[in-house]
Amino acid sequence: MLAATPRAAAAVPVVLALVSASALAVFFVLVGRVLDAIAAGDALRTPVVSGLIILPLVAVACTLLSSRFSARATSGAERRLRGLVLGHVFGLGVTRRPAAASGRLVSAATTDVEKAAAYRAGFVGPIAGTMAGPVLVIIVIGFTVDVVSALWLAIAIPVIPLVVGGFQRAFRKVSGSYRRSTAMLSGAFLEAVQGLSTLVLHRAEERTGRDLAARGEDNRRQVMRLLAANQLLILVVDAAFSLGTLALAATLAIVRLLDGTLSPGAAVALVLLSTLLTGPADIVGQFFYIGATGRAAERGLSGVLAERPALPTGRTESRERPTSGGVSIELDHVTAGYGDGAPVLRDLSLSIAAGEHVALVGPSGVGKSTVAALLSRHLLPESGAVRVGHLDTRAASGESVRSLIAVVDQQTTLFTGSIADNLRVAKADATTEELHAAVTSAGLAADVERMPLGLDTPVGERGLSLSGGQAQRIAIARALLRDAPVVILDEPTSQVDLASEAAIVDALRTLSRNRTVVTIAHRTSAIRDVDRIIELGAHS
Amino acid sequence: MSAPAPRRRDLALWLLRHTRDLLTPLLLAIVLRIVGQLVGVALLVVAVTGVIRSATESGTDVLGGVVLPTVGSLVGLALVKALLRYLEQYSGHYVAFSALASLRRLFFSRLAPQAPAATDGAASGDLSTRATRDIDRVEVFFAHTLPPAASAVVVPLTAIAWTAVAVDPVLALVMLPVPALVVAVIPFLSGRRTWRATEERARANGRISQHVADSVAGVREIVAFDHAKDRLAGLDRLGADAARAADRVGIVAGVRSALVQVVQLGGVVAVLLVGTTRAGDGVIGWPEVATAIAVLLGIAGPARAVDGFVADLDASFASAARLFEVLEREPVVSDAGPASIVVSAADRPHDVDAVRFTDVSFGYPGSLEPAVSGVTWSIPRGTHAAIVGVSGSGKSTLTSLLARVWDPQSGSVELDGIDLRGIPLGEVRSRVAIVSQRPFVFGRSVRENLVLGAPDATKEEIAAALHVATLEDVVASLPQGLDTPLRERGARLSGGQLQRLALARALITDPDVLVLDESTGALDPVTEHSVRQRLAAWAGGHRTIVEVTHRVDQVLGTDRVLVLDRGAVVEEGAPADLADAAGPFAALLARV
Ligand SMILES: Nc1ncnc2c1ncn2[C@@H]1O[C@H](COP(=O)(O)OP(=O)(O)OP(=O)(O)O)[C@@H](O)[C@H]1O
Ligand SMILES: Nc1ncnc2c1ncn2[C@@H]1O[C@H](COP(=O)(O)OP(=O)(O)OP(=O)(O)O)[C@@H](O)[C@H]1O
Ligand SMILES: [Mg+2]
Repeated sequence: MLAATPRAAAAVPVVLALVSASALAVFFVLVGRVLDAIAAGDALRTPVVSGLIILPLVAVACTLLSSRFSARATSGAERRLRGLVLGHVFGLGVTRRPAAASGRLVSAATTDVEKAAAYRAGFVGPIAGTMAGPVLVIIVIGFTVDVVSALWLAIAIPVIPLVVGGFQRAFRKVSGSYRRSTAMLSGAFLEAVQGLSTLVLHRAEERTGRDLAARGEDNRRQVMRLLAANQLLILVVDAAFSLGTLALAATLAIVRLLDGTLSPGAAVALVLLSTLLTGPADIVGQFFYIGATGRAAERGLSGVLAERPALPTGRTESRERPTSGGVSIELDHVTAGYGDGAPVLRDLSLSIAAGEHVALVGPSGVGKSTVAALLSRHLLPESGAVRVGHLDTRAASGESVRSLIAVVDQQTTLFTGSIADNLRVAKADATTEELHAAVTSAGLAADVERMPLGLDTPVGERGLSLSGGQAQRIAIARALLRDAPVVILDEPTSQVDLASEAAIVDALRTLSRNRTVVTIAHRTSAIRDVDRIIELGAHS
Repeated sequence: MSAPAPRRRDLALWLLRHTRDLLTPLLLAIVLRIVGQLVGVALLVVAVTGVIRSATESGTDVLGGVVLPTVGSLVGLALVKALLRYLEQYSGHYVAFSALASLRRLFFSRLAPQAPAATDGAASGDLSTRATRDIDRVEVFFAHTLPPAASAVVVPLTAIAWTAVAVDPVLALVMLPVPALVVAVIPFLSGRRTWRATEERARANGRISQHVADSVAGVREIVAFDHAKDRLAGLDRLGADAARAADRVGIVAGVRSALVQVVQLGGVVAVLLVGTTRAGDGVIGWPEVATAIAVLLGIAGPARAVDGFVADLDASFASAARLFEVLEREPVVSDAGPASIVVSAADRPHDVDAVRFTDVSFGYPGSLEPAVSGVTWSIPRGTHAAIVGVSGSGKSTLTSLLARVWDPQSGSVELDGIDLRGIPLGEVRSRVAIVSQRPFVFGRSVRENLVLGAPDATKEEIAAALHVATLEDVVASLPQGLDTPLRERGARLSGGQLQRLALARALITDPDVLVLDESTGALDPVTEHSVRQRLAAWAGGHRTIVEVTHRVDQVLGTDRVLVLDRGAVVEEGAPADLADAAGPFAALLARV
C-alpha cells in the first residue's frame, strides 16, 4: 500500500519546512540586531533592512509551495488508493462475501482512503518538516546567538517527539475501535438507505432509526474517548513545549544577558526564536483527526487488501475463440457447494455439445443457478471438473473462462446511469446503432421510444426507475451485445409478459444460431425450441 | 423536488436551530479559548519583559526581583494555558459530536417519510454519504468556527489596547492593521469561487461513493462482463474531478495563508521601522519596541485561526447544503396523522369493496406519459383479483398507488370505502402488504428479515408464515436454521427462495389486502402450486389478494381480472367471461 505514496511526498515538505524555518530564524536574529541598534542609537543598515524584507518572502514562498505540494500529493494518493481498493474488491469474487461487506468496502474505499491519503501524503511530510524545523532553528541560534543556549535547547527538543510517540502507541487501540465503529455505522446507514422502501412498507423504519441512533451514540462515545485521550496528549505536549522552549529560552536569555554574553537585542531574539520551536506543539492537536484516524484507516485498508480471493487466480489462457459454432460444455462428476452445509450439487455429470441449445429445469433451490455460477467460474467444484470449451475452470483464470460466456443472471444488477451506460457495460465501444439493435432484439424498442430521453433515460439505482420487465430486458440486451460463444440465461424472462417473451425467445434463437445456449427456466413457454431438456434433482 | 439552494447565513441558523441545547457548552468553549489565548500572549510578553528588566534594572537584586518571578510566572502561565486548551478542545468537540449525532438522527427521521417514492432508484451511496461523511464535515462548523472566530477578534483587540496603554499608542496604531487584515479581509477574498469549487468537491465525493456502492453491489456483473477496467477508469475520472475541485480550493487557500504570513511578518518590520524613528526622536526606547513585537507575535496565532477555518468552513457549509437538500424535502405523500378516523376491522361495513380505484391517473415526475390513466376498478373483500398486461403497462405502479407510495394526480384510491389520504400512513401499510417485484432482503438473519414488519411475532406465527410460503424445508436445511445470516441482498438464497421469503415476510404482518407483484415468477410449477393452495387457505375468504402477473394462464383461477395496456384499463371482469369474449384477454390467453 505504501507503494501508492511516493517518497517525495515526505521529502519535499521536509526540505521546504527546513528552508522556511531557517529563513524565519535569521529574520528574528535580525530583529534582535535592530533592537540593539536602537539601543545604541545607530541607524539601520541596508543589508539588515533588505534581509528583513526578503527573508519573510522566502518563508512564505516555502509555505505556499509546501501546501500546494501536499494537496497534490494527497489527491493523487487518494485516487491511487481508491483504485487499488476497488480493483482488489473486483478480484475478491462474488460467492463468499461476508455479511455487511458492501458497507464496509464502500467505507474503506471512501472514508478510509481519504483519511489514509490525508495522513500519508498530506500529513506525514509536513509534520516531519515541522518536527525537523526546530533542529535548524537551534543551529541558527548556535551560530548567530549563543552556543550554550543552543545546546541547552537541543537537549529539551528531542524529548517531545518521544512523548508524542509514546502517547500514540498508547491510544492505538482506541482509534482502531473508533474506526471500526465508524465503518459499522456507515455500513448500517448504507443498508438502511438501500432497503428504506422495504423498511417503510413494513413499518420498520422507526425501529431502524432507533437502532441507527444507538449506533451513532456509540460512535460518539468512541470519539469522545479517543478525544479525551488525545487531548490529554495536547495538554502534556502544550505544557511541555511552553516549559521546554519558551520558559527555558527566557531563563537562558536572562542568565546569559546577566553574565554579559548576550546583548539585550540578542536576548530578546532568543526569546522570539523560541516561538519557532513550538511548531510541533501546535500541530499535535491534529494527531487526533488526521494522525490517529489516518493510521487507523491505513490499518483498515491493509485489512481489506489482505483479504484473499475465494478462488485461486488461475492461468490466463489464450483468448482465441471459435468464430462460429459455439463451444462445448462439460460437467464431469461435479460436487459443489458454498462451503457451509451440505454440497448443493452431488456427483453431477452433464455434457452439452457445441452449438446445442439446452434447457436446465428443476425445482427451486435445486442448484440451477449454482451450475451457472460454476460455468462462469464464480465458484469452483469441490471435486470433479467443469470444462467450458477447452478450458478447465480449475486451471484457467476467471477472465479467460468468462470471455467465452455471456450471461443474464437471475437477479441482475443495473448500475446508476443511463440505459446506454448499462448496455455499454458489455461492450464499451458499442455504436448507437449496435445499442439500438440490441434493444430491439430484447423487445425493448417500443418502451425506449416512449421514454422522453430514449437511451439516455436514467435507470435509477438497481434499475428501480424502470418497470421490472424493462430492467430485465436491458440485462438481456446487454448479454446480446456481448457476442460470446456460450450464452447462459438464468430465468431470462421471469418478469416479462408472454408477448415479449415470445419475441425475445425468437430473437435469441436467431442470434444464437451458432452458439451454445443454456436456458434455466420453469416455464415451457420459455424453453420451447430447445434441443434438449436437462432436469436437475428429478430423481430425488 | 429539492428545496432552493439556501444561503450560508440561513444554513448557519438552520444548523444552530437543530442543536439549540448545545449552546451552553459552546459558550464555555468560546470563553475558555479566549482566556487561554490571552494567557498565551501574556506568556511571551512576560518572557520579553523579564529580559528587558534584567537588562535595564541593574544594581537591584536581579535574581530575586526579576529572574525568579519571571521563571515562576512563566511556569504557572504555561500550565494554565495547557489546561485551558485541553478544556476548550474537549468542550468544543463535545458540542460538535453531540450535534453530529443529533443531525444523523434527524437525517434518518426526515428521510424515512420520503420513502419509498423519493428513495427508490435514488442513489443510496450518495445518500448514505450525506448521512455519514457530510454530517462529519459539519463538525467543523460546531467545533472549529465560533470559538476561534470570537477569540480572533477579542484577543488581538485586547492585546493591542493593552499595548496602547502600557507601551506606546503609536506602535499600537501601527500594529492594528495587521489583525484587521488577517481576521476581516484576507479570509474573505475570492469567497464565491472557492465556495463553488467546494460545493463541486462535495458533489464529486457523493458521486464517488455512489460509484463505489454500485460497483460493490454489481461485482458479479462487472466481473462477468470483463468491465472492471472501465469501471476503475470511471472511478478515476470521478477522482480527477474531485481532485480538480479540491485543487481550486487549495490554491486559493494557499495564497490566502501566504498573504496572512506576509502581513504578519510585515507588521513586525513596520513596528521595527516606526520604532527606530520614534526611538531616534527619543520618545521611546528599545524595550517598548521589543514588547510590541512580542505582542504582535503573540496575537499572530489567534488571528491566523480565521484563515485556517474559512476553508474548512466552506467545506462544512457545502456539506450542510447537501444535508439541507435532503432534510427539507417534503415527503411525496403527507401523513394524515393519528388524529383521523381509524375503523377497527370488526366495524368495517361488509358491503363496501376492499379496494376501489376511481378514475385514477398518475405519471412519474419527469416522464411525459402517465404510467396509469383513468383507472376505475373495485375489488370486493375476500376475493382474489389479478392485474395483467404487457411489461411496462403500469401494473406495479397501480399497486404502489394502493400502498400509497404515491398519491394519484387525479382520482382516488379507497380502502374499505375510505380515501387513502384520510387514513394514517402506518395504518395503510399495516392493512396493505406488498410483496414487491424486486424484493430487498437485508444481510441479517432469516428471522430478522421475516419479522421485519412484526417484531413481536410468536414462534407459531413464524411457523405459519413459513408454511404458507413453503419455506419450512428450506429453513430447516440451513446450517443455523432461522438464525442463518443471509448475506447482502440475500445472496445466501436461491432466486425462488428469496421470493418466498419476501412472501412470508408480508404474510406475517397479517394484512387485510395482500399485493403480490410477480411474486411467483421464479418458482417451479410444483412449488408454485402448493404456494397458491396454501395462500387460498390463508386468505380464507376474508382477506383480499391482488396479484400482478404476466402469466395469463395463472389468472384463470382468480375471481376477477383487470387488463391494463399503457396505463389504461382495456378490459375487466371475471376471467372465464373474458376468456370467451374475444377481447384483449382472450388474445393474451391465446398466446400461451
Ligand atoms: N452464496 C450462497 N451461499 C450459500 N448457499 C447458497 C448460496 N447461493 C445459493 N445457495 C444455496 O444453494 C442452493 C441452490 O441454489 P441455486 O440458486 O443454485 O438454486 P436454483 O436451482 O437456481 O433455484 P431457483 O429456481 O429458486 O432460483 C439453495 O438451497 C441455496 O440456498
Ligand atoms: N420510479 C419510476 N420513475 C419513472 N418512471 C417509472 C418509474 N417506475 C416505473 N416507471 C415507468 O412507468 C411505466 C410503468 O411501469 P410499471 O412498473 O408500473 O410497469 P409494470 O406493468 O409493472 O411492468 P412489468 O411487468 O415490466 O413489471 C414504465 O414505462 C416505467 O418505465
Ligand atoms: Mg412491474
